[in-house]
Amino acid sequence: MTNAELLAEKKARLAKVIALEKPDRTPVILMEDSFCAVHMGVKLSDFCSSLKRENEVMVSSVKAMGPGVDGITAPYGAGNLFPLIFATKVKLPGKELPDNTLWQLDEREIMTVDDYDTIIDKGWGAFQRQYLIEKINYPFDSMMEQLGHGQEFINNFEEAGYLVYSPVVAATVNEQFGGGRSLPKFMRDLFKIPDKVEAALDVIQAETVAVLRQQIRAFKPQVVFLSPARGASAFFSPKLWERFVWKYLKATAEVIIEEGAAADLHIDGDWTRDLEYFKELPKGKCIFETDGTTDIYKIKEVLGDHMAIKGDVSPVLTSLGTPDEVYAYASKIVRDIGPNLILSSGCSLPPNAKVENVKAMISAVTGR
Amino acid sequence: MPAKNNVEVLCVNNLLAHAMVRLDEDSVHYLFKQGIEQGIDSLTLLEEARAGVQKVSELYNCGKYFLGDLIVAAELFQDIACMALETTMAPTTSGLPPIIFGTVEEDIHDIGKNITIGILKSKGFEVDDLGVDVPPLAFVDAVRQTGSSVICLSGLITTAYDSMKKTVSLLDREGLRPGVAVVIGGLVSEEVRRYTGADYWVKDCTTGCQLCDAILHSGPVKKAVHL
Ligand code: B12
Repeated sequence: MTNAELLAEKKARLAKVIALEKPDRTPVILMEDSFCAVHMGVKLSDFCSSLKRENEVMVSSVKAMGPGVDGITAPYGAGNLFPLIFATKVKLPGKELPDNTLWQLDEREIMTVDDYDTIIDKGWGAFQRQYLIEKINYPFDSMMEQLGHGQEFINNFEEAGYLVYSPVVAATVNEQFGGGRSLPKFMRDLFKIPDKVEAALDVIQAETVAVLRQQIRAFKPQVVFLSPARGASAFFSPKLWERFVWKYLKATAEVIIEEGAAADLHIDGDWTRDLEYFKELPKGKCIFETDGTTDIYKIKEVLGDHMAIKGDVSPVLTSLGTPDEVYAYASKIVRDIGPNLILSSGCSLPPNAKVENVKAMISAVTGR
Repeated sequence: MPAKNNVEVLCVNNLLAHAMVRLDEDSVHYLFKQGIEQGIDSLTLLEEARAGVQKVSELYNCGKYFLGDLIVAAELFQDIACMALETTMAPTTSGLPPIIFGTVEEDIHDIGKNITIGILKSKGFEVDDLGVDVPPLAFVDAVRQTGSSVICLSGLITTAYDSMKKTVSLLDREGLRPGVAVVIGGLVSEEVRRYTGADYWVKDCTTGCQLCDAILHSGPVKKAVHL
């Protein structure tokens, strides 16, 4: 089989799972970035030096795992892009941190309450660029230039026969304030000035969704990753959750689906209370990507005939466990979750995951 | 200063605790200032705020309140504690050595740490918060300087387990290990506890606070047990 044929087979397999049809086998998608650097013996400082470097290293790492892997979540790492999602400074290895230390979000209150008004009056785009450059020293223009090479980064995987699961990445808009104001201050704002926060979020949402539509039209992705990173039900009362998380999560997922892609809902933390809400989204168009905190069996029970499920081999297992333990868990969910499953780690593979454990996870679908 | 009026004192006190439970920032601040103006001792007001946090934790434990509510309660309590400190020189804590608390090296997750610290403080414990990405040596230095017998390590990423392990080893090498109970929390388990060499692991702040209380008051009698 040529790489092009292999890629077509993998895309078709994924499409079947998302549409809730029966695939020939469970697809396995690796969600990883820092792990690839460690796997390839590349220092994290070198890895993070550019999106191009991240892409090169990630392509080599996926190839080294063998053709059984269907694809990778994103074409480059997350560390450099965090400020765009969380409005927070990120400390990078080789810059603010030692060469082989994982990047760190340096969350503190940088946005002010007055910034809500500025955003409402002047719009998000102009504010965001100036904020990132002036307040957190983010190399905004260089990053935009690098992101402009997105298609090349995707091609590097596809030419090798691996799909890029989600070439377009989005986060729900509340994260901009959860990070920029800092989570404690943002939470206080939700009690003290909820109307103002909502008005500012509506402005960000309108602009973000317009950009997202353009990106989807440009890249024509099969799937778009959408992270409501700190939107877990465990954080909010039902009233606040509905108003400040679900409203934006649902609206953004609907736009993704309207533009012809499937929405990968990246669900970290405990969302058990609100699983029923996800039935409001169209059937066969979403993937519930669990990090393992929301129990995968519970997700199947509530949403199993509504959307595909991605997950959820735990980072504790891939880093501290043995290949046999990983294989046993992965095989168990492949069997129990059935044709709805996209096998993956629960959120990212940790940098200290053992290579033989990742191989054991893959072999649960490709055979040992 | 206006004369103390017991009826008003009662009113302000009750209202302050209630405002804490409603997580109503403006009222909490207003009522504290009002109380001080009425001549109520700031420590009495602080006690009221504590009672409010206590109620919020109870509501959280029975599923009626959520993590965000705990975060806000801890923040508001912190405000009141600062305001109280400005108006009094009296000690606000139990007199026991502080609990040393930090998110371990390489890890920056601090939401759980901050909630737990907020609740510990509201229970009258003194806590030395070392922040995030705390190297092993900083924990050791803090134990040495304060004579503390409890150190709390928070960690949610897998690389944090190695940092916890290094911290425990360094305490050992420096001869401090026998006098110190090491509690780990966050994304931890019995397996992680064994790997790191810590004494206790907890997955929630309520158990964590009870554990610290038990250790400080009766010593680390039940080592290697998860409460
Ligand atoms: C919020 C969050 C973030 C925020 C953190 C903001 C902040 N200031 O803390 C942001 C977005 C910045 C973030 C960043 C990252 N995160 Co994160 N994050 C989470 C998330 C969604 C929730 C964590 C949380 O706050 N929970 C709520 C709190 C209240 O719970 P808690 O911490 O357990 O605390 C409770 C108890 O444990 C206790 N407690 C906590 N500590 C202690 C300590 C003691 C001694 C005691 C007594 C009690 C106690 O008190 C709390 C109340 O009961 C989790 C998902 C999850 N499943 O946990 C991922 C998660 C922790 N993150 C993860 C990852 C991988 C990352 C990143 C590396 C992402 C990346 N690819 O770059 C970076 C971290 C960079 C770094 N160097 O640390 C992984 C970790 C996986 C692993 N084990 O390695 C998780 C588990 C997601 C996943 N499944 O993959 N993250």
